[in-house]
Amino acid sequence: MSHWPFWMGGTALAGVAVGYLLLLRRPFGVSGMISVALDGGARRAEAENGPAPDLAEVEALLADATTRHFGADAGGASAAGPSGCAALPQDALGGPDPATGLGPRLAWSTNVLFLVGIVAGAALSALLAGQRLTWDPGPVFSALIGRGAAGHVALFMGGALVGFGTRLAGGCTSGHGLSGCARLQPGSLVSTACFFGLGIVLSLILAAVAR
Amino acid sequence: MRNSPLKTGRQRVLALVLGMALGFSLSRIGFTDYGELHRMFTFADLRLVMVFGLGVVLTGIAFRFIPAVKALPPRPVTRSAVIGGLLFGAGWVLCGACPGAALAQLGEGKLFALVTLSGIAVGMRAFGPLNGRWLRWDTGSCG
Repeated sequence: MSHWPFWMGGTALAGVAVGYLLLLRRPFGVSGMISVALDGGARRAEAENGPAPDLAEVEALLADATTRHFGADAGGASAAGPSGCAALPQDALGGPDPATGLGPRLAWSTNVLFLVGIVAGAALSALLAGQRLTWDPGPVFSALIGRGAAGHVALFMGGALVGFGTRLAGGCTSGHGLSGCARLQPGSLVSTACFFGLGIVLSLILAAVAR
Repeated sequence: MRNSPLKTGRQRVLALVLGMALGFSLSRIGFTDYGELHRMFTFADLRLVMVFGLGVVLTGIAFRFIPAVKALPPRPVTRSAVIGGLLFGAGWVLCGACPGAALAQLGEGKLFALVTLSGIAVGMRAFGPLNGRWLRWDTGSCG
């Protein structure tokens, strides 16, 4: 497959990142969506039984019950307020919050459809280019990482590191690298510098060892 | 209160179309190809670096005109952003895929991505219990 020139690729990535925010009204990040998809059971239960109770609501009820039981002096519980996460409008709202322009959390199935779309879009690209099914990660991978069983172990371990690392960092190439860096968020810039930086160092070492 | 069915249906179509645009783009950019990735990380070919740089710059410019951007959650520098980023970087070099690219590889018929995706699923599922029991680190995200 002949690859796009840089300006087409960059424009396409920006188009998806901006389109996602404008059309779906949510912060864009693929690792977060995979994480939500994996938590399918909980999300489906939520879809069937309605959203989980709002933290602030529970807190208010508890504080109210405490006051009724112990008298007004016992207070304290209500002063804490909900966690900072309440800043994002969640399931309680039906459409984009007019104040922020952000919408409620996407339904689990909508989340999954985006991921299915990634697979389908890439399949379309490969079909148009006449590519065939393959188990071979290619000559560069085989030379630098390994072939056969060793290669498969590396794919699995690498995948596990990607999964754990992006969950810990709270984002991946799209959430931190693309939209976080575009907003000049310090955490995203640092996280991106970390994964790109270590990628560069390790790849240079691999290239030197393989030579 | 829930989203109206009509609204959710529209969102599903939009999500599918946006996902397809991303998958097609990742494939055509070459983000799913280990050789291209290696040439990016070793600066043997600057095309992918420029793709990413231009993507960030154009997104940044567009974000200046979108009010909702101000409501997006802040991403402060945390220990987990650093260590998580480093673990992700090491894994990326090892398996040749970031989360989106692994899905795109599968779509391209690169069946080895099934192994990578299993790893990603295990890593993500392991995070909750591991972090809850031993690390207790703030991931800086609310979900």
